[in-house]
Amino acid sequence: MAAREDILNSVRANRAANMDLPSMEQVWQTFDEPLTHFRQMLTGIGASSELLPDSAAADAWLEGRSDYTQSASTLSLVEGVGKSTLQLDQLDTPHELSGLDWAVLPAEFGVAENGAIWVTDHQVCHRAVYFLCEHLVLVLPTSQLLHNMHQAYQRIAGWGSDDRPAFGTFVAGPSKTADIEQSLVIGAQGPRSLDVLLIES
Amino acid sequence: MSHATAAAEFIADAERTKWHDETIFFVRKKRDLAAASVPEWELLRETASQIKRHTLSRLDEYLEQFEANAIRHGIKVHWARNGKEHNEIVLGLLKERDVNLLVKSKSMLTEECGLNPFLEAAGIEVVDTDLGERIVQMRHEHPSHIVLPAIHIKKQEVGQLFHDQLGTEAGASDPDYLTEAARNHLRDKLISAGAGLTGVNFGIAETGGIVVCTNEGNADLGTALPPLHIASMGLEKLIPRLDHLGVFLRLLARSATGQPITAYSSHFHTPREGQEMHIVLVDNGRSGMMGQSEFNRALNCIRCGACLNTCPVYRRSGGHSYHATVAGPIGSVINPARDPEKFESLPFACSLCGSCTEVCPVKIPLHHQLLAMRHELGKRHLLPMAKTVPMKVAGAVLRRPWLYRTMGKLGRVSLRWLPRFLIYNPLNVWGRQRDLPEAPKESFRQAYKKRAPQARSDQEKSN
Ligand code: SF4
Repeated sequence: MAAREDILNSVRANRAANMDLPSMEQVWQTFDEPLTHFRQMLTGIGASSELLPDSAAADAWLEGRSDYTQSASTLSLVEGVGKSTLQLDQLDTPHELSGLDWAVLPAEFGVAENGAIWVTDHQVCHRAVYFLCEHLVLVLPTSQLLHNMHQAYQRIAGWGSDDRPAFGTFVAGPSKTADIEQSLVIGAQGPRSLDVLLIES
Repeated sequence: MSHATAAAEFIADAERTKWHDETIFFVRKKRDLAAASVPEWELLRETASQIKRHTLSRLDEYLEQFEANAIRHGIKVHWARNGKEHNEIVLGLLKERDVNLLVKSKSMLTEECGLNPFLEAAGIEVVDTDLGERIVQMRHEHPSHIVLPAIHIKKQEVGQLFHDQLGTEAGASDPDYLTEAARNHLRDKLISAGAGLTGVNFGIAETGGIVVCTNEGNADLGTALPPLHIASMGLEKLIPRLDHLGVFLRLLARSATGQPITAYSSHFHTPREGQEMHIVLVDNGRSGMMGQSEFNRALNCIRCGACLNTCPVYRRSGGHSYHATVAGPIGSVINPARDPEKFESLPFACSLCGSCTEVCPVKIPLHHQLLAMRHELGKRHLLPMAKTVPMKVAGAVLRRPWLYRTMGKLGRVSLRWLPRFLIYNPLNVWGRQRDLPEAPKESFRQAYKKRAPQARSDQEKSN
């Protein structure tokens, strides 16, 4: 623990000049039509979105896609939307998810300013499923749409003070890279596509 | 090697230099559009700057708070005074668990510590899983940019590399095809790894958690599968509260690539069921730099790369010419601040145009710091002769008006009449890549003297 004490002592001895914390209560960006903006952002980041009246319509939308109906392995954790060929909580290791074609998963809320969608592993025992599936479908009620990232953090305030806070991530589009000559390629190591099914509510 | 000498190698290939310059400036333009889409952009920058500066003013308290919360959530926290200690901690964790394959997501800190060669010497396979980092790793190089590690490499070269090492078709250079090959290769590694190591974009004192941002999802895959997650974190990555992330996540990707946010912004607060999670807090010169009031704001950097993208010198000299983990304007401050002897030439690889300061999302006064660093190096007598000798001569000339006039005349005449080889020779660095201006026939004084009576009489008439 000598290193810890040395570092803390050195940090203490070298404190920078005083500066107060700024207020987070500011006038942050909002939108007249957050849903429209959200959908535009989704398109911009390489995702697609569908506006659907209810879960039955979401299910029908999936069943209408031949690439979905013809795939060998699918998983859904959203009641009434899509089907499952495997049970997440029956897997011994998350590695068994490799090769999963489609995952249909619930989203907690979306952020209009950037198209980000907050998901956690609260009810999802292997969080690898968000990243290992070939195609990701997130189901989000339109009532769960926020304007900006400040509202997003207000919404999850206190999270992190629990004893076992869940893993959480903002998903914004399918996985992508532009590391070869700045050419954008969708489908780097993670999912190749992201469909957001917006259920009117 | 000085920056100028190293840059000469890069610009020897004029076509590549042009491509590098234009491609990176295109990223800078995307940043401008993204920034303009947020009406309160300047407020965000100011807020981010204040949060970071506040954190440095009581970093010890926040570090202790961070550690206590992380431990409460089942994370083990380690402290490393320098790169060597960091590497030893990581190796120890891997050895104890018989790990022989480590997958890494982007971490400039482990570059700084030289982790890869250290682990490889101990017989551990290390695979960088960010595509750009994997490409430079396969070429036995270092990233040339903190956000775009392989920006100095052309797709034909990646095609050749993948053909040799991954068995892709000879001559293939299509980015889609090559990325697909890398995807299969990297997913194999991610699935068979015994441990995953990530960097840290932000550590949150209030919750003891960390946030990692990627576009590829490699940090998430690398930590969602293996039974061990190690996060390497520089002390300066700390922010006080969870809601401060609202400010930083709005700034980071927009400044870096012009995206509204990265594809994944993942918040890690506790190990998974059956997993261990360790955070290694690294000082390596950071606490010492905090005490340098002129330069400590460089520790506020969130590594967005915007100052590199906008810098006319960086764009035209390439990241490797800086011979440091972090290149560009921010690198030219932090490297000499830590090791002035080794990096004395970097603060001079700068035209003081100030563009870096304009774009920096946390408002680090980069060009002021670069100027201050030159003074600092001067005080320590670390200026190269090419700078000190002409400065002394100029000082002597400027103090003596008669000498100044004579020298001016000599210059005008000789620039016009001297043969080219005498002006454009290796001793005159100003003669490289540029033609010196055509010398005027008369000096300003002579021209003014001739003009002055005429101008005076014109003025009198108009009165
Ligand atoms: S100094 Fe500022 S602009 Fe440069 S990388 Fe750091 S945060 Fe970005």
